[in-house]
Parts: sequence; C-alpha cells; structure tokens
Amino acid sequence: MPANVTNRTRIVGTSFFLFCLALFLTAYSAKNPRVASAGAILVAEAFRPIQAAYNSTAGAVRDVWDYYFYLVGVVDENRELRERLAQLEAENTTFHEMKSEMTRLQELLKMRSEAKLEGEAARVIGYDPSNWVQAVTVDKGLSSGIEVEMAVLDKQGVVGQVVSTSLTSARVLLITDRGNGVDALIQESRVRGVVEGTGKDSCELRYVLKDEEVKVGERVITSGLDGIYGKGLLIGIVSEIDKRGGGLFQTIKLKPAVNFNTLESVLIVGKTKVR
Amino acid sequence: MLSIRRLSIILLVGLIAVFLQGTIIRSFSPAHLLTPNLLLLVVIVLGFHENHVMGAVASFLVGLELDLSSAMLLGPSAGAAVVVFGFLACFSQHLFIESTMAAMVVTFLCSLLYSLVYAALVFQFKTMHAGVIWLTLEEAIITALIAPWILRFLKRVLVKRESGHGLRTSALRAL
Repeated sequence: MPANVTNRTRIVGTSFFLFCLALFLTAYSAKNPRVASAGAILVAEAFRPIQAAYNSTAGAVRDVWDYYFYLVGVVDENRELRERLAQLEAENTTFHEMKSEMTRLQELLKMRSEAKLEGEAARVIGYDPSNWVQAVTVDKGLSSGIEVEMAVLDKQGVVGQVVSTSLTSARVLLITDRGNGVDALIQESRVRGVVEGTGKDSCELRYVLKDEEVKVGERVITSGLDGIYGKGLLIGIVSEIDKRGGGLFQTIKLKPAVNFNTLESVLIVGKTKVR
Repeated sequence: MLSIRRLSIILLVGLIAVFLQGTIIRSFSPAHLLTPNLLLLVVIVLGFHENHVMGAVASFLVGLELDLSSAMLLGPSAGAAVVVFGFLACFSQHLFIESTMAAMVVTFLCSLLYSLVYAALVFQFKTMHAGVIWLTLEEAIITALIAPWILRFLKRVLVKRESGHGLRTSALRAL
C-alpha cells in the first residue's frame, strides 16, 4: 500500500478516535459541569493578570490613538504642538478615565443603597473567546466571596449570573446567552414568562400565551421566583411582538436594559432584598 | 513528526489566539460584529502542513484550549477541530491556498464544517435556536476575510522549514 494512503488511513483513524474522545468529554462535562469548570478555573487564573493589565491600559491607548488621529490634520501645521498636545491628551485621558470609573462606582453604590442590595463590585476584564457563548470574566472570585449562581447586575439592570469561579476571577453568563434563563414578568400587566438569550445582544420573553396582551415599550422585570435574581430588577424593554407563528406562545423580543458592549463595572449580589 | 518543542509552540499560539479573541479583538470589533475564529486558522495550517498523526493530536489540543476557556462544555471545539483537520489532511493534496481567494474559500468552507460539527456536539445537550444558522454564516465570512494574511503569518510561525525542497513546493513554484 502506498505510503501516502497508509498515512491517510492513520490520520483518519486517529481523527475518528479523537472525535469519539471529544464526544465522550462533551457528554461527561454536560452531566458533570464541574469538570469543564475545573479546567476553566486554571485557564482563568493564568489569564487574569494579563487580562487585568490589558484592560487597564486598553481604554487609555484607544483614546490616545483616536485623539492623535483626529488631531493630525490640525497639528500637521506645527510639529511641536502636535507632540505636546498628544502628551497632554494622554494625561487628560488618564484623569478622565479615573473620573468616569469613580462616577460608575458611585452610581453602583447608590443603586446598592437604594435597593438594599448587598454585594461585591467587580470590573469586566474579558469576554468569552467563542462567538457561541455570551459570557464575560470579572476580576473578583472565591477570595472575595463570589459563588456560583450569584446574580450580576449593572446600574441599568440585570447582567447575568455567575457560572464558574476561580480564586480571583469569575465567569458571568450574560442574559443574552442561549443557555441562560431568567424568570420574569411584565411590570404593568404582571404577565409571567422566561427571558432567554438569543445571542448577539438580544433576548426574548418566552412562554407567553398568544391571548395575553403585551405592548411594545413595556418593562420586563425579574419575578424573583428562580431563587437567583431578586424581585423587581429591570431586564429589558419589549421591542417587538409577533403572534403570527404557529403554536401557543407569542414571540416577544426584548431590548436588554444593559448595554453589554460598554459593560465595565458590575455588582455581584448574593441574597437580594429589593424595596 | 512534531517534536515536543514544536507542539508547545503550537499550543502557545493557540493560547494567544484564545486571549486575543476574548480581549483585544472583542474590544475593538464593532458592536454587533462577531470575532473571527483564530483557532480554526491554526487548525487549517496544521491540516495543510502537519498532516500526520501528531497533527491530529495537536488540533485536538488546540480545540480543547478553546473549550477550557469557555467553561461551558468540554470537548465540542476539540471534536470540531479534529474533523476539520481530518478533512484537510485527506484533501490537502488537491487544495491550493497560496492565493488570497483560494485561502478565503477554503477557510469559509472549513468554518462551516467546524460550526456544523460544533453545533452537532453541543446541541445534543443544549437547546438549539434558529439564530445559529446566521451565527455560523457570519463567523465563516468574518474568518474567511482575514484568513489569507493570518494563514501566511501562522505558516511562518508554525511550519518547520525543510532544508531541501519537496516535490509539492517545487510544483507550486513552477505555477
């Protein structure tokens, strides 16, 4: 048998064996989530210092680049002024960033005191590398008292829940992820449903019967019945309603209250007592 | 065959790709744009230039790196990577990715295959949503658009340069 055919047979055989191994791992980790979490904890701990360092400088570097680009046309007329201006912009950006951070944390503290929420403030330091999963990594973990199934909030509303933790970081599954579900109700009509993510910054309110009256613009809040999120926390606003499809339930699309593309600081809460 | 040192370099490149996808690329991509699948590009390079048993193992481990960083399920990315590697290793003699367009087309098809296998593995255990189809197409297009340049870079980093010229290399040069 020619060498290349023998090699190809070996490759196909090995690939098939490894695929079966992958299938076994997938099935095993689906039944035992701690298996996937254990490896992720190690990776998260290894990445955390790098992610935190990148996160603290990325915003400043991006602003410096933006300001330099926009000032090139002006500063072309004077080389010395351009260098001086870029230096001053960098310093201004640093101070601006510190001020914004302080404002965000103050708003978080204000929300916490108004809603009697007890929790830990954390910063988002990374996103899930896969497009199939909507999750972020925050810079607080077991050492700060963070545990799995804790609710994660933003000053605008519900962000998601903690799904895995390491010593100094935690992974938060966003409400826009397909695997996440939040027991919810419409604030005015008190119609109940389950908010599930559809990926890409959107989610839907499911299991609402077609004969229930729902209007665009209505607020959807947590019901507090799932044991994770407290009652009355804002999830999103009804943006689209579709009753044309078959089946018992109408399709209700939500615009999440939280802007996940600009998520920087969050509050991780344990037991919630909302006024 | 792959030495331990070269396997370590491949895995390190995979880890860097995971980090880039989760931080820098996600930070700078426009609001609703997906990030390209850089690990798929690593697997494509392996499929073309390391088509032997250890190449399959390297692809499996590279996919496993992505699974470990996601912490949702362990195994679907590894399984998808191995299938893509196996497909490329079998047909690499008949495929040509030296040109920009060819690299884009091959990457697009490999991305579709990757997503198909990934979805088949994941949705055995999780519910499926119709939006998965658009996600698959968008990811394939974005990855294909950047593929030619990334593949050239990865080839320089990952592929061991032989002292002599193989028959295939000579044939390519003749073209």
